[in-house]
Amino acid sequence: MMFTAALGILRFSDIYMRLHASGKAGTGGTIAILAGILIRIGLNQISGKIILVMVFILFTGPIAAHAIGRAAHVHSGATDNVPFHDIEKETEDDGGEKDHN
Amino acid sequence: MSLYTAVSIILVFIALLASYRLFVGPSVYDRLVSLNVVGVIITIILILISVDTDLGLYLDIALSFIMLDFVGTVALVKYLEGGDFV
Repeated sequence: MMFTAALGILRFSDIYMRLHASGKAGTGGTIAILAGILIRIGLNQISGKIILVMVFILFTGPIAAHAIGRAAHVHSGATDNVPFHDIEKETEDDGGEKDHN
Repeated sequence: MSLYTAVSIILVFIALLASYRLFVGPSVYDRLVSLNVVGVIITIILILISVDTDLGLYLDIALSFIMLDFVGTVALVKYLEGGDFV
């Protein structure tokens, strides 16, 4: 799953597709690898901290992905060649001029 | 070579694959996404080293690394949005 995340970041064409790949496949792959380590080593002093890292990644991975996506949408210079229809750009006409490339 | 070392080597190659977008990404946000994934992979490698060598020190380093990575990502995003820091 981590390989899928890296391949998605490498190959997809715009910023929202890359967020889609890294947000779900990255978090899920991390949880899977750490759960495998937990099953292998059993329950001792190390595994408590590994559970702590798992819970932290489970909470903050989607928060970071949401923050990056929101910033990319507010400064939509990064999304000029997005192949779908943006409704908010038609209704109100602000936030579409700055270019951050 | 133990299993943890093999998984670490595979993860290093995955991090190199993901950091391609860090160097040639067209916008700042592509670089942020790539940096986030590379930070998570570095955390997993630190945990694997800790389990392999039975040293609890690397686990503390991994925990503080992932916290600082999240705080750095949120701070950069707030700066790029032009918002004020709370």
